[in-house]
Amino acid sequence: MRGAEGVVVPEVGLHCNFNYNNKENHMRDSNGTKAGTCADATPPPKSGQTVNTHIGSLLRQMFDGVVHEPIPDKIQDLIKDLERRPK
Amino acid sequence: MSDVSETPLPAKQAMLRLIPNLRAFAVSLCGDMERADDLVQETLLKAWDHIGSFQEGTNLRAWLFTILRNTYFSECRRRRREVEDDGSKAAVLAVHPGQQGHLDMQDFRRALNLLPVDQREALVLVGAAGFSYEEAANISNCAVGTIKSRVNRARAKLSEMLDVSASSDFGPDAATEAIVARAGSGGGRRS
Repeated sequence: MRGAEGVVVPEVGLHCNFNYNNKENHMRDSNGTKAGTCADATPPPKSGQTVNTHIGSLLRQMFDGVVHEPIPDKIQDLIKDLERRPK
Repeated sequence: MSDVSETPLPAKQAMLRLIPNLRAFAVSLCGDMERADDLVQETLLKAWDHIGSFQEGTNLRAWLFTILRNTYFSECRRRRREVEDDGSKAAVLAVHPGQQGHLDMQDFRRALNLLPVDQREALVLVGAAGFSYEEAANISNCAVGTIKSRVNRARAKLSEMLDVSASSDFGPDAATEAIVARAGSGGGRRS
Protein backbone atom coordinates (compact mmCIF):
# COMPACT_ATOMS: atom_id res chain seq x y z
CA MET A 1 0.00 0.00 0.00
CA ARG A 2 1.28 3.47 -0.78
CA GLY A 3 0.48 6.78 0.87
CA ALA A 4 -0.48 9.92 -0.97
CA GLU A 5 3.14 10.86 -1.35
CA GLY A 6 4.31 7.47 -2.44
CA VAL A 7 5.43 6.37 1.00
CA VAL A 8 4.81 2.74 1.84
CA VAL A 9 2.62 2.48 4.91
CA PRO A 10 1.61 -0.61 6.88
CA GLU A 11 -1.55 -2.33 5.69
CA VAL A 12 -3.12 -2.71 9.09
CA GLY A 13 -5.55 -0.04 10.16
CA LEU A 14 -4.21 2.77 8.06
CA HIS A 15 -6.12 4.97 5.71
CA CYS A 16 -4.63 4.68 2.26
CA ASN A 17 -4.19 8.42 1.93
CA PHE A 18 -2.23 8.67 5.14
CA ASN A 19 1.45 9.32 5.47
CA TYR A 20 2.54 9.17 9.09
CA ASN A 21 5.91 10.65 8.29
CA ASN A 22 4.17 13.88 7.47
CA LYS A 23 2.67 15.52 10.52
CA GLU A 24 0.89 18.23 8.60
CA ASN A 25 -0.72 15.70 6.32
CA HIS A 26 -1.77 13.61 9.32
CA MET A 27 -3.37 16.54 11.11
CA ARG A 28 -5.30 17.60 8.09
CA ASP A 29 -6.54 14.08 7.61
CA SER A 30 -7.52 13.76 11.26
CA ASN A 31 -9.52 16.95 11.08
CA GLY A 32 -11.28 15.69 8.01
CA THR A 33 -10.43 18.75 6.01
CA LYS A 34 -8.51 16.89 3.40
CA ALA A 35 -10.46 14.57 1.19
CA GLY A 36 -9.28 11.00 0.88
CA THR A 37 -8.64 9.43 -2.45
CA CYS A 38 -9.71 5.90 -1.62
CA ALA A 39 -12.81 4.58 -3.24
CA ASP A 40 -13.85 2.81 -0.04
CA ALA A 41 -13.27 6.00 2.03
CA THR A 42 -12.22 4.25 5.23
CA PRO A 43 -12.08 6.48 8.28
CA PRO A 44 -8.83 8.33 8.92
CA PRO A 45 -6.37 6.53 11.17
CA LYS A 46 -6.08 7.15 14.86
CA SER A 47 -2.56 7.67 16.07
CA GLY A 48 -3.18 4.83 18.58
CA GLN A 49 -3.52 2.36 15.73
CA THR A 50 -0.20 3.48 14.29
CA VAL A 51 1.45 3.26 17.69
CA ASN A 52 0.10 -0.26 18.28
CA THR A 53 1.31 -1.35 14.87
CA HIS A 54 4.72 0.08 15.61
CA ILE A 55 4.91 -1.52 19.06
CA GLY A 56 3.81 -4.87 17.60
CA SER A 57 6.46 -4.67 14.94
CA LEU A 58 9.24 -3.90 17.44
CA LEU A 59 8.03 -6.68 19.71
CA ARG A 60 8.13 -9.26 16.93
CA GLN A 61 11.51 -8.00 15.74
CA MET A 62 12.90 -8.41 19.25
CA PHE A 63 11.43 -11.91 19.67
CA ASP A 64 12.45 -13.12 16.22
CA GLY A 65 15.94 -11.73 16.73
CA VAL A 66 16.46 -14.15 19.62
CA VAL A 67 14.72 -17.03 17.81
CA HIS A 68 17.24 -16.77 14.99
CA GLU A 69 20.30 -16.65 17.23
CA PRO A 70 22.42 -19.81 17.40
CA ILE A 71 21.79 -21.97 20.46
CA PRO A 72 24.53 -21.29 23.02
CA ASP A 73 27.07 -23.95 23.87
CA LYS A 74 25.82 -24.54 27.39
CA ILE A 75 22.37 -25.46 26.08
CA GLN A 76 23.91 -27.62 23.33
CA ASP A 77 25.86 -29.45 26.03
CA LEU A 78 22.70 -29.95 28.06
CA ILE A 79 20.92 -31.39 25.03
CA LYS A 80 23.75 -33.88 24.54
CA ASP A 81 23.53 -34.87 28.20
CA LEU A 82 19.77 -35.27 27.99
CA GLU A 83 20.02 -37.43 24.89
CA ARG A 84 22.58 -39.67 26.56
CA ARG A 85 20.30 -40.32 29.49
CA PRO A 86 18.84 -43.80 29.69
CA LYS A 87 15.33 -43.97 28.29
CA MET B 1 1.15 -20.69 15.51
CA SER B 2 4.60 -22.00 14.77
CA ASP B 3 4.74 -24.96 12.43
CA VAL B 4 7.38 -26.40 14.74
CA SER B 5 4.82 -27.30 17.41
CA GLU B 6 2.72 -29.14 14.85
CA THR B 7 5.51 -31.29 13.49
CA PRO B 8 4.67 -34.93 14.18
CA LEU B 9 7.94 -35.67 15.91
CA PRO B 10 8.42 -37.57 19.12
CA ALA B 11 7.85 -35.10 21.95
CA LYS B 12 11.49 -34.99 23.01
CA GLN B 13 12.72 -34.16 19.52
CA ALA B 14 9.99 -31.58 19.05
CA MET B 15 10.96 -30.10 22.39
CA LEU B 16 14.53 -29.51 21.24
CA ARG B 17 13.29 -27.73 18.16
CA LEU B 18 11.41 -25.30 20.36
CA ILE B 19 14.50 -24.14 22.23
CA PRO B 20 14.88 -20.91 20.18
CA ASN B 21 11.29 -19.95 20.99
CA LEU B 22 11.82 -20.74 24.65
CA ARG B 23 14.93 -18.54 24.71
CA ALA B 24 13.07 -15.66 23.13
CA PHE B 25 10.26 -15.94 25.66
CA ALA B 26 12.71 -16.26 28.54
CA VAL B 27 14.68 -13.18 27.59
CA SER B 28 11.47 -11.21 27.14
CA LEU B 29 10.43 -12.19 30.65
CA CYS B 30 13.64 -11.61 32.53
CA GLY B 31 15.42 -9.11 30.25
CA ASP B 32 18.77 -10.81 30.65
CA MET B 33 20.24 -13.28 28.18
CA GLU B 34 22.35 -15.20 30.64
CA ARG B 35 19.52 -15.64 33.06
CA ALA B 36 17.25 -16.54 30.16
CA ASP B 37 19.58 -19.37 29.14
CA ASP B 38 19.61 -20.66 32.72
CA LEU B 39 15.83 -20.59 32.68
CA VAL B 40 15.71 -22.50 29.40
CA GLN B 41 18.10 -25.11 30.78
CA GLU B 42 15.99 -25.58 33.88
CA THR B 43 12.84 -25.77 31.76
CA LEU B 44 14.36 -28.42 29.50
CA LEU B 45 15.46 -30.50 32.46
CA LYS B 46 12.01 -30.37 34.04
CA ALA B 47 10.24 -31.04 30.76
CA TRP B 48 12.56 -33.94 29.91
CA ASP B 49 12.02 -35.51 33.31
CA HIS B 50 8.25 -35.06 33.15
CA ILE B 51 7.68 -35.74 29.48
CA GLY B 52 5.37 -38.56 30.55
CA SER B 53 2.90 -36.03 31.88
CA PHE B 54 2.67 -34.31 28.50
CA GLN B 55 -0.38 -35.47 26.59
CA GLU B 56 0.48 -36.28 22.98
CA GLY B 57 -1.62 -34.28 20.57
CA THR B 58 -1.86 -31.25 22.84
CA ASN B 59 0.17 -28.09 22.44
CA LEU B 60 3.78 -28.90 23.31
CA ARG B 61 4.86 -25.31 22.79
CA ALA B 62 2.29 -24.02 25.26
CA TRP B 63 3.27 -26.77 27.72
CA LEU B 64 6.94 -25.74 27.57
CA PHE B 65 6.12 -22.04 27.85
CA THR B 66 4.04 -22.82 30.93
CA ILE B 67 6.91 -24.70 32.56
CA LEU B 68 9.29 -21.85 31.75
CA ARG B 69 7.07 -19.10 33.14
CA ASN B 70 6.29 -21.12 36.29
CA THR B 71 10.01 -21.72 36.77
CA TYR B 72 10.67 -18.02 36.33
CA PHE B 73 8.03 -16.91 38.83
CA SER B 74 9.09 -19.54 41.37
CA GLU B 75 12.64 -18.35 41.07
CA CYS B 76 11.57 -14.73 41.45
CA ARG B 77 9.63 -15.55 44.57
CA ARG B 78 12.65 -17.37 45.90
CA ARG B 79 14.99 -14.55 45.17
CA ARG B 80 12.44 -11.94 46.24
CA ARG B 81 13.13 -9.95 43.12
CA GLU B 82 11.09 -6.94 42.28
CA VAL B 83 8.55 -8.70 40.12
CA GLU B 84 5.72 -7.42 42.27
CA ASP B 85 6.31 -3.96 40.87
CA ASP B 86 2.97 -2.30 40.33
CA GLY B 87 4.16 -0.16 37.50
CA SER B 88 5.33 2.72 39.66
CA LYS B 89 8.80 2.40 38.16
CA ALA B 90 7.26 2.82 34.76
CA ALA B 91 5.33 5.86 35.87
CA VAL B 92 8.48 7.58 37.06
CA LEU B 93 10.76 6.61 34.24
CA ALA B 94 9.83 7.63 30.77
CA VAL B 95 11.92 6.29 27.96
CA HIS B 96 12.25 8.85 25.28
CA PRO B 97 13.27 7.95 21.79
CA GLY B 98 17.02 7.95 21.46
CA GLN B 99 16.97 9.45 18.02
CA GLN B 100 14.82 12.14 16.61
CA GLY B 101 11.34 10.79 16.11
CA HIS B 102 12.37 7.17 15.91
CA LEU B 103 12.00 4.41 18.39
CA ASP B 104 14.98 2.15 18.22
CA MET B 105 15.17 -1.34 19.58
CA GLN B 106 17.20 -0.32 22.60
CA ASP B 107 14.56 2.19 23.71
CA PHE B 108 11.93 -0.44 23.19
CA ARG B 109 13.73 -3.11 25.23
CA ARG B 110 14.23 -0.69 28.10
CA ALA B 111 10.59 0.28 28.07
CA LEU B 112 9.45 -3.34 27.86
CA ASN B 113 11.57 -4.26 30.86
CA LEU B 114 9.93 -1.51 32.88
CA LEU B 115 6.47 -3.00 32.44
CA PRO B 116 5.03 -5.04 35.28
CA VAL B 117 5.99 -8.62 34.53
CA ASP B 118 2.43 -9.89 34.16
CA GLN B 119 1.75 -7.30 31.47
CA ARG B 120 5.06 -7.98 29.75
CA GLU B 121 4.33 -11.70 29.74
CA ALA B 122 0.84 -11.21 28.25
CA LEU B 123 2.11 -8.85 25.58
CA VAL B 124 4.94 -11.17 24.54
CA LEU B 125 2.76 -14.29 24.48
CA VAL B 126 0.09 -12.66 22.32
CA GLY B 127 2.02 -10.05 20.41
CA ALA B 128 5.28 -11.87 19.69
CA ALA B 129 4.96 -15.60 20.35
CA GLY B 130 1.70 -15.78 18.42
CA PHE B 131 -0.48 -17.45 21.03
CA SER B 132 -4.20 -16.78 21.05
CA TYR B 133 -5.70 -15.00 24.05
CA GLU B 134 -7.10 -18.35 25.19
CA GLU B 135 -3.73 -20.10 24.94
CA ALA B 136 -2.00 -17.22 26.70
CA ALA B 137 -4.59 -17.36 29.47
CA ASN B 138 -3.93 -21.09 29.93
CA ILE B 139 -0.18 -20.54 30.03
CA SER B 140 -0.51 -17.70 32.55
CA ASN B 141 -3.19 -19.52 34.50
CA CYS B 142 -5.68 -16.67 34.43
CA ALA B 143 -8.91 -15.66 32.69
CA VAL B 144 -8.99 -14.64 29.03
CA GLY B 145 -10.34 -11.23 30.04
CA THR B 146 -7.37 -10.74 32.34
CA ILE B 147 -4.95 -11.44 29.49
CA LYS B 148 -6.79 -9.00 27.20
CA SER B 149 -6.70 -6.35 29.85
CA ARG B 150 -3.00 -6.93 30.55
CA VAL B 151 -2.17 -6.67 26.85
CA ASN B 152 -4.12 -3.42 26.55
CA ARG B 153 -2.52 -1.94 29.63
CA ALA B 154 0.93 -3.03 28.43
CA ARG B 155 0.40 -1.34 25.06
CA ALA B 156 -0.87 1.82 26.70
CA LYS B 157 2.05 1.95 29.13
CA LEU B 158 4.57 1.32 26.39
CA SER B 159 3.08 4.14 24.33
CA GLU B 160 3.24 6.38 27.35
CA MET B 161 6.80 5.44 28.25
CA LEU B 162 8.00 5.76 24.71
CA ASP B 163 6.09 8.99 24.45
CA VAL B 164 4.55 7.99 21.15
CA SER B 165 0.94 8.86 21.76
CA ALA B 166 1.00 11.85 19.50
CA SER B 167 1.38 11.96 15.77
CA SER B 168 4.44 14.15 16.18
CA ASP B 169 6.30 11.16 17.55
CA PHE B 170 6.79 9.91 14.06
CA GLY B 171 8.34 13.18 13.05
CA PRO B 172 10.63 15.62 14.87
CA ASP B 173 10.43 15.48 18.68
CA ALA B 174 9.26 18.40 20.81
CA ALA B 175 12.77 19.71 21.51
CA THR B 176 13.65 19.70 17.84
CA GLU B 177 10.40 21.40 16.94
CA ALA B 178 11.05 24.12 19.52
CA ILE B 179 14.50 24.76 18.09
CA VAL B 180 13.14 24.85 14.57
CA ALA B 181 10.35 27.21 15.65
CA ARG B 182 12.84 29.50 17.39
CA ALA B 183 15.06 29.51 14.32
CA GLY B 184 11.98 30.22 12.21
CA SER B 185 10.88 33.21 14.32
CA GLY B 186 14.34 34.71 13.95
CA GLY B 187 13.88 34.75 10.18
CA GLY B 188 14.66 32.05 7.66
CA ARG B 189 11.45 30.10 8.35
CA ARG B 190 11.33 26.74 6.69
CA SER B 191 8.63 26.27 4.13
